[in-house]
Amino acid sequence: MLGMEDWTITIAWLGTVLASLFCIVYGAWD
Amino acid sequence: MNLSLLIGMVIVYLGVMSWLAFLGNRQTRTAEDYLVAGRNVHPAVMALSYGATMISTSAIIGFGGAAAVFGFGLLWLAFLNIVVGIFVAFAIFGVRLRKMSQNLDATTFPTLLGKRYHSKFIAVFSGLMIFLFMPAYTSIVLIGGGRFLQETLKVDYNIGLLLLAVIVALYVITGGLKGVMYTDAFAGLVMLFGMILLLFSTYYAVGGVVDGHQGLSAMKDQIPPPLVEQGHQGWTSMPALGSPLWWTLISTLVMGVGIGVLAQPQLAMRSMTVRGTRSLYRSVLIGGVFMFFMTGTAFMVGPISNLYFHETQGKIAIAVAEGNSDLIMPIFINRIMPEWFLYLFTLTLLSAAISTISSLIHVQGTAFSEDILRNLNVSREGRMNLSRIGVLVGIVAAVILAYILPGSVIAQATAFWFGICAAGFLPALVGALYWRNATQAGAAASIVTGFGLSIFGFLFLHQKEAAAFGLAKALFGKETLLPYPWTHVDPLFYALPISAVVFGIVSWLTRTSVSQIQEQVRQGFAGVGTVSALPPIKGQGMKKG
Repeated sequence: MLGMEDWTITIAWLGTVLASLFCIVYGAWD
Repeated sequence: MNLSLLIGMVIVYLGVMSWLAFLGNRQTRTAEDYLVAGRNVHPAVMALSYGATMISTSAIIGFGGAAAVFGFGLLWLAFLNIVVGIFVAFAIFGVRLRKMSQNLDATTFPTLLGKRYHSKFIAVFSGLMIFLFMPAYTSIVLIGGGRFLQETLKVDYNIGLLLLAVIVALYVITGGLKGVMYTDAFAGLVMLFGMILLLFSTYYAVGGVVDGHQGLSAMKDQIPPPLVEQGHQGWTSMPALGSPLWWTLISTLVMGVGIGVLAQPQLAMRSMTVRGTRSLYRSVLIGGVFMFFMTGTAFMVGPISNLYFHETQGKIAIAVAEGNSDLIMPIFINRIMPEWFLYLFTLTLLSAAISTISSLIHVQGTAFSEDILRNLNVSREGRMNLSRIGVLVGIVAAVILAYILPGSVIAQATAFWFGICAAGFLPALVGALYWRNATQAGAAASIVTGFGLSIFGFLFLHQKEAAAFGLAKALFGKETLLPYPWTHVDPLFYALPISAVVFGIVSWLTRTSVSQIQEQVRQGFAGVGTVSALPPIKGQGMKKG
C-alpha cells in the first residue's frame, strides 16, 4: 500500500502523518 | 549562489537574532527569569524552542543522509519523535513535571530530581554528568556548524567555529533562557518554512507520493552488495530481522533517540517554562506540526533522493555523494530546488545549529551554578553571574573538545549522550513523577547504575564507540569484549531496563525510608494528578546523602 514494499513501512509512513494530525486535533485549546 | 547576497542575508538574520536576545535580556530581572524564563513563556515559543533545540544541523543533514542509505525504516523514529518527543513529553510528562518543579521551586532538571528525592547527591551527581559529558555533544553540533559555515560562506573553519561559539555564548549570557527561547523560536520558524518547501518539492519532483514510493520499491536491485549483506532489503522495506542493520536501526536510532528525548535535560526542562497546563496542551499542536516537518521531511526526502538521482544520473544517492552520506542532502537540494531556496536552506541549517548549541550551553551553565556549586554550598550569591561563568566554561570546553577529540570519537557523541541520559535519568524521572513510594536510595542507585552501565557499554561493548575510543583495545587487546550482537546493540537497550530494575529493587529494600521524604513527596505531588493543590514552597532545601 502507498507504493511501499513492506507493510510495516506503510504503517510507519501513515503513522507519522497520523501522529502529527493527532497532535493537531488534541491541541485544538492558565 | 551569490556570496555577497548570502553574507548580507546572514548578517540581517543575525541582526534579528541579536535583537531577540537583547529582548530576552531586557526581560530578565530575576534568577527565575534567567533559569526558567520566568515560567510564563508563550506556548508557541515553547514548542518551537523545544523542537529547534532537538533538531540540530546534523539531524537534518546526517539523518537525511542516513535515511537515503537505510531507507524508510527510519520513519519509525519520526513517528516516535512526534508521539513520545511531543505528545508524551508535553501532555503527559510535561504536565506533571511543570507542576512539580513549581511546587518544589526547582529551576533545573537535576535540582528537580534532587529536591523530589530530598538528596543533594542526586542533584550534584546529575549536574556533574551533564557538565562532564554534554560538552562533547555540544562540540559535535559546533563542528557541524563550523564546517557548514566553511562550505557556504567560504569562511575559514576555525574562524567559523569560534564565531559561532562566541555569538551563541553572547546570546545565552546576555539573554538567559528568555533570550535562548526567543532566538530558538525565530530559528524554528525559519527551519519550518524551509523544510515544508523541501518536502512538497521532493514528492512533486518524483510524481507524487504513491508513484515516488513505487518507483523506489522497484529499485531494490540497486542496493550495494555490502548493504545487502548487512540486512538491507530495499528502501521501502525494513532491514532483515536480527541483522546488524536492523539492530542499529532499532536500538540506536529508534530506541536511543526516540525514547532518549524524554530524559534530555535541555528538553525536559522546557515544560517548566510555561504558565500552566493549558499552555502545554497548546504546545502539543504546534510541536506536532513542527516535528513532522523536521524529522518527517528528513526521513522522507532521504530515501526518495535515490529515485531522483537514479532517474537523472543512473546512480543511487550514496554513489552520487561518493560514499559520504552527509553530502546527499546538500547535493539533492542543489539539484531540485530553485536558487533562492538555497539561501533559505542556508539560514535553516544555521538556525538548527544555533538553537541547539544555545540550549545546551544554557543547561551546562545551570548545571555548574545551580546543580553543583549551590548544592555544595560553594556560593549562595549571584546566581545569574555564576550561571554565566558556567556558560563560559561550557562553551570553552566544547571548543577545546572540538579540537582535541579525534573525529571518530566526536562522531559518536550524539548517540553516546542520548544513551547515557536515557539510562541514567529516565527511571528516576518516571519515578519522581509517578511513584510516591520511590526512595532516595532507589533513585540514586538507578542513576549511578544507568550512567555507569551505559558508559561501560559504550566504551567496551558497542563497536562504533568502543573502536573509536580504543580503550578496550588498549586494556584487553581486542576492540570489544563480547561478540555480536552485543557489538551492534546500543548500550541503552540493556542499561535502561537494568537501571529501572535496580530502581525498583532498591526502593523496595529501602521502603521504610519513604517516610523520611514524606514531606517532599506531599509537596511535590500537590496538585499533580488527584491530590488537591497546595501553595508552592520557596527555598526548599535538600539534605546530603
